[in-house]
Amino acid sequence: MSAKAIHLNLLLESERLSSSPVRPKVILPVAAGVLLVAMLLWWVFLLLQGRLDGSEVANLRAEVAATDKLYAEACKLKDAMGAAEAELNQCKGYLNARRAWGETLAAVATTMPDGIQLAMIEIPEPGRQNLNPPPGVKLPPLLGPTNELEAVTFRIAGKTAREAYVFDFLDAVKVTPAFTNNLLVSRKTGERGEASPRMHQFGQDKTTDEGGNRAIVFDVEYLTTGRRFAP
Amino acid sequence: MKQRNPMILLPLFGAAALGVYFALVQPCSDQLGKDRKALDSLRSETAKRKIAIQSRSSIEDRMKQIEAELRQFSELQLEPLLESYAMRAKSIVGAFATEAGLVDAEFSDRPVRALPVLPGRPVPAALHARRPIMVSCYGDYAAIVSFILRVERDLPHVTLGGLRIQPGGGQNPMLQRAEIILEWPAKGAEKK
Repeated sequence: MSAKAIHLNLLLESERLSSSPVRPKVILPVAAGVLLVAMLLWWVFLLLQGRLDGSEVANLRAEVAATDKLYAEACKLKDAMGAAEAELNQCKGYLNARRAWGETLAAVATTMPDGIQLAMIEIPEPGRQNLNPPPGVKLPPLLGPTNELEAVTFRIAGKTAREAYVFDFLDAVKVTPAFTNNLLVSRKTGERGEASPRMHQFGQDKTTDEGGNRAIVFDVEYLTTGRRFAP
Repeated sequence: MKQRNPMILLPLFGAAALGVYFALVQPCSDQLGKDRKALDSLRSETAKRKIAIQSRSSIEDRMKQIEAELRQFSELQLEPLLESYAMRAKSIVGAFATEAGLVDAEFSDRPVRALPVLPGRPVPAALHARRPIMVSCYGDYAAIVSFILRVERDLPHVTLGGLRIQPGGGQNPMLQRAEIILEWPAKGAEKK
């Protein structure tokens, strides 16, 4: 007869201990207890933090209230400075937009061929300002134009017996600093705007003189870079 | 001896932990969040105020500078004489016209032109404008140019705002009629 190992278990199921050193029956309640303590500690920490923050909030509110008057004065002063700077910029804009014409007009006399009789020299006055809103729009009038740039042109017209005199004058304008400093003397259409010079009229006069000859009339306009009312 | 089951503590501790979390920790955390936002906002407000208050003296210095420059500019402005700007202009440049050789010089007002006020920028404390005055006169071309050059040299704040020179229409072919528009800086309209 073979000897079989006899295994007797004298322990009840409930008394049997787990071979594992970590017993869920103990660990889980302990973990729950630790969690509870952690929650409580967290709450205490939040309370303390809240007290500190609350104290700082109160201090800062008091500081803000104490500086109300000074701050209001500082803001008012800053606004006043902004308005004063804007006023000064307006004045500087006027000074920067000045344009001198004396030298250009003097150069007309020195470069104009003797064979040309001038009929007109004109620097047109700018058109009337309209600061009112369009009809039907209920807005107050503007305080001033909203564009800093004002166009300025120079127009010269006359008559002559020979076309060549006119071409000589136009060529002289292109190379005389008194003109080139003020006028756009050779700009073609499309180059940032209209052509300059622009010939409004160049041809025979409709009338004849005592000898029955027709003069050549010309009317040429030069653009300029304009007047920029910027500080 | 009957052993107590420690597992009975699990639901008790668990419930207590959840209770502490929802009843105490979460409300406290929410309040702390609100306090932190208020704190950040107050900190930035106090910093902003501090900068504004500290910069007062530099702003006051800059204001004095601006006021001095504006005073200088106001001395250039055309003021009316007996309620007439044209009369004032005549009192200033009339002698220039005579000395240049211009005759029959008449001075008249042209419409005032406001200076630009750009949108989106601070509105000037006071508005300024351009006050054009037309000088209608007769003279030869050299006299007209001489007058304009004299004005530009002696009154650099005055600028030529317009010009028309054409034959005077008389017996003398050298005599030209000129309409010269001189522009002065002036006070602008009152702000409403």
